[in-house]
Amino acid sequence: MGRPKRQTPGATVPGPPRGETPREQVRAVGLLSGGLDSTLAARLLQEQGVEVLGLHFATGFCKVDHRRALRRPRDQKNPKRLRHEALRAGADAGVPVEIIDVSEEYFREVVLNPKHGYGSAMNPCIDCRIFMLKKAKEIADAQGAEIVFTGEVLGQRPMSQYRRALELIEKEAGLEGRLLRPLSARHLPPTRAEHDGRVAREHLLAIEGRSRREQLALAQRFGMFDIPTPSGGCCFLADENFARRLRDLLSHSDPQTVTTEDVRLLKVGRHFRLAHDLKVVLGRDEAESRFLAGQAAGRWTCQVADGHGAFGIVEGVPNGEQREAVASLAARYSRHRNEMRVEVILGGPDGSTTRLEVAPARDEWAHSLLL
Amino acid sequence: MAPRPRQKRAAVPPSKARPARRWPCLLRHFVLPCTVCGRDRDGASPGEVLDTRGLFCPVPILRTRDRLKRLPAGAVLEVLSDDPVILEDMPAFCRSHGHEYLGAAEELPGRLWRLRLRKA
Repeated sequence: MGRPKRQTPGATVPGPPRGETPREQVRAVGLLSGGLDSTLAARLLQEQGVEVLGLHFATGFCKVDHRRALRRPRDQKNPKRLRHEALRAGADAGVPVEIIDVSEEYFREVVLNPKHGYGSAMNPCIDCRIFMLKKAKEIADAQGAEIVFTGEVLGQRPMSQYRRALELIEKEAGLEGRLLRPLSARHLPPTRAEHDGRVAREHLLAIEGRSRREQLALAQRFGMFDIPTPSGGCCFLADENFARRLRDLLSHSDPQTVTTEDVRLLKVGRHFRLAHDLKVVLGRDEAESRFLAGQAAGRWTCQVADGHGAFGIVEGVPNGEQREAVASLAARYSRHRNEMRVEVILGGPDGSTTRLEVAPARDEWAHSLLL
Repeated sequence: MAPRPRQKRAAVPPSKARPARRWPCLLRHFVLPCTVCGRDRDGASPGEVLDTRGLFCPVPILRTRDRLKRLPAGAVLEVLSDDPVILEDMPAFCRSHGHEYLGAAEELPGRLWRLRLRKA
């Protein structure tokens, strides 16, 4: 038995035959993250002659989006690392993809007030699915699409993809009888489209659990060889370090006044909480320092005088003693951390600069402030 | 050895100076749109130019999508971008939406690109 023949992406794959009588064109709108499962779900429906539109919601918490904004040299050299996987998946499957920015609404409605609570970090997975599916339903109604589909697999994720959660999500999104999960469809009650034969249930799958073996085999059958990494690992909200900083931000400020700009800063650098209303953010590498410099307008900034150290911005207004503390942190995270006295430049929000000579912060003290 | 002194070029009187040389269109040789005369291989010049410098993908793609909605079918749009990721994302966007991706020219090496597409 030789290796299976490689097929070009988007090529017609020998699959299940269409119905014997010609059916009316069925339309489906689905969530397309760009990961393997959602792409396969779209391909399975396409194979049955369903006209598919993919939706990709930009929530502002995607790690790849953030990597794009940082422009690290190693990423710049290989733009494939930063490409938009949903666009790539849509291109490979021949499915048009709409990218929809929902970041502001998502933050207010889902992240701050999750009805069904958070997962292990600050990931409101169930509310996230409900929010996206409600949006998808609006678009499906506007486009005249009967089916809404996702790439969810029964039992794949602990919080949002067990049987009761799938039922709950379907009900709360107002999609009872319309929400199709082609990869696990035969484990779930049939949708209306399956009932009346517009979608052939017998050609949908019965995948269950965390293994990706069946999906990888299916990808090979479809001629998909450029398979992205699991997309579940790319959400900042499921990252414990990010969650700690977000909790800190929400506990030290009024959640209603927190903006998505404030949240964007949480993704970058080392964060030190000096007081209830004072925080220092220092870049961990050149790309982060450059990113922080871009956010410096209207804020206090700090960096060692010769520039051989992390650039930092200050959230809040430091008083005289606190300015020395800020400077000592900037000195600690510089090339001069072992020197007795280091000159640090503090920049004011009005563009003025102050030079301070301080001793670098002690490690224990710096680590005690680190978020 | 001492370097040989360079000979000064004799000044040409303005009346005898050659007219400024016009470079030929480079598109006879390349698939990409010509950066000199601005035309592509079919001789089409862009109907509109979209400047997305300073924006990271996918924002330039979203701006492109919005601009295309206002253009008639067959119109050529030129997108100016300084994000190298657009070289991956724009062809994918065109393939998934059925637009024709005409190519990209490097305006400043590694820093600025000019992309062309034709609306379906």
